[in-house]
Parts: sequence; C-alpha cells; structure tokens
Amino acid sequence: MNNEAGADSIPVQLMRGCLVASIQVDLTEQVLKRFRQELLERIGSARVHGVVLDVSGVDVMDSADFETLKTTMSMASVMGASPVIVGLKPGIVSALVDLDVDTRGVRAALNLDDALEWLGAAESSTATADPAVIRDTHARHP
Amino acid sequence: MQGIHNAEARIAIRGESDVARAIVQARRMSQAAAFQTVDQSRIATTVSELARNILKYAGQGEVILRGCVGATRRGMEIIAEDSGPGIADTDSALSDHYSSGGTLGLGLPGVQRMMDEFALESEPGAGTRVTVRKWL
Ligand SMILES: Nc1ncnc2c1ncn2[C@@H]1O[C@H](COP(=O)(O)OP(=O)(O)O)[C@@H](O)[C@H]1O
Ligand SMILES: [Mg+2]
Repeated sequence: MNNEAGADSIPVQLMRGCLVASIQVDLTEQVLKRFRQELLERIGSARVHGVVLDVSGVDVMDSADFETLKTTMSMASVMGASPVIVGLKPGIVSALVDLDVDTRGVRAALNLDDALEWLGAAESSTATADPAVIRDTHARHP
Repeated sequence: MQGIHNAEARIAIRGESDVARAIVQARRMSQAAAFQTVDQSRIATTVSELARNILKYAGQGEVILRGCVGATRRGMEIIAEDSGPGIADTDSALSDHYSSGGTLGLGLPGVQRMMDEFALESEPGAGTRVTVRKWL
C-alpha cells in the first residue's frame, strides 16, 4: 500500500490497472475533498483505466457525502478512468433512497472482484455484462 | 434487553468532529434499542443531516438523543436545536431541492421521509429546533 499515512486518509492501491480506494473512515467534507484531489492526481500519473471506490467500510453516508463522492466519480470519468462504487450497505442504500439523491449514472458492483472483472473486460472492450448502472431510484417507495 | 427509554445524550455541535461523535452515539443508542440495521442507518443519517445543518447555517448548536415511550411502543427521539438565524420560510425549507446554501436541499425533506414523526420549529433571528422520532 502506498499512501501517506494520516489517520483520516483513504488508502488507494493499484490493482490490475485500476485504482482501488478503500474508504473506511468517517466521511467529512475535508476527508472527501483531500481524497478527491489525491485520486485525480494518481489517475493522471498512473494511466489507469478504472477506479473502484470500495465503501464497504462506510456506515453512514448523508446527502452531502454522496454528492461529493458522485462528483469525484464523474471527474474520474472525465479523466478517462471508469468509476465503479462497490460495497454499499443496505442501510446506506435505504437512506439514500429516502433522501432521494440522484443515483442515475452511478455504476455499482456487489464486490471488488466483480468491479475489477468488469473494468478489465471493458478495457479490452470485450462485450460483457455491464454492472448495474443505476438509472432511476426516484420511483417513490412506500 | 434493558431499553434506552431513560437514556439521554446531549452533544454540543461546534465542528465536524462533534457531528461524528453524535453519529456514533446515535448508532450506539439505536443498536441498544434493537432497531433493525436499516433503521439504525436512517437514524444515523438523520443525525448527520441535522447536525451538519446546525454547523452550516447556525454555526453551533446541540443534538439531543433519547429514548422515548409512546402509548404502545418505544422509540428514539432526536432533537437538533440552535440559536442561529432561523428559517423564514419553513415550507420551502421542507421541500425537495430547496437550499439557501447552494447544496442539494434534500436534508430536511429526506429526514422527514426517514423518520416517523417530524416537527420543525423556527423563528427568524431566534433559532431552529427540529424534533423527530423513530418508533421500533
Ligand atoms: N439549523 C438551521 N438554521 C437555519 N436554516 C436552516 C437550518 N437547517 C436548514 N436550514 C434551511 O433549510 C434549507 C434546507 O435544508 P436542507 O434540506 O438540509 O438542504 P441543504 O442543507 O442542502 O440546503 C437550508 O438551505 C437552509 O436555508
Ligand atoms: Mg442540509
């Protein structure tokens, strides 16, 4: 692992040509903004084709956290690295649906293996199953 | 299990670390009260949204977490209060996508959807109090 320590930092590893970030800290605006900057710099220098945000260690994500992560993902994508989020817990998903945040366009996979497999396949442009691109969670829930 | 109906925690909110502290405490109490994990998340997310509103719009305030007892059920009550600028138009503040801070404007309406009971009291110049309840 190759990150400058710091209790609040988010470790980012290079795996199969992709950057994998395991987010296991309390999300604050400061932590997320610093992470965004580090991630984008590494995308720029490492010529990666994918970015995986592993949030399996995250217990709470409010509307602002989600929006910041989503913006980070679209920035990665504009730089040429496909972003995939993995490990969203059921409780977080319910809260995000209640908050009614816009999840359209966010690519999600169940786990790291699935995400890396899809990113690898997408890179070699073999036709393959696309992980779920969330199109609309805005349908009202009961 | 011994309930939480007589437990109470007050967390002064002055910075992001206080928000994190309030979230941890809310999770601990909702867990002790045996809320389902999905509702534990709703409670923790509610605390995050309300405490961050205090920081952003009032600068400082307080979050109170406590068990509550209804006629036939138990639950948890969250109060977020501050002596900040207050909200002039509470109807707007409660509608989706209204924000005076240039953000998503989904916090208050989202909290309303996540909780079973919701009350917003605010007086311009005097402050804001949000009281919510989630029943087991
Ligand atoms: N504690 C508060 N004090 C003053 N105004 C508040 C407070 N909480 C919320 N508001 C007002 O209500 C609006 C909606 O809040 P919210 O739904 O959380 O969305 P956001 O925080 O993204 O603006 C805010 O933009 C602000 O104008
Ligand atoms: Mg808010």
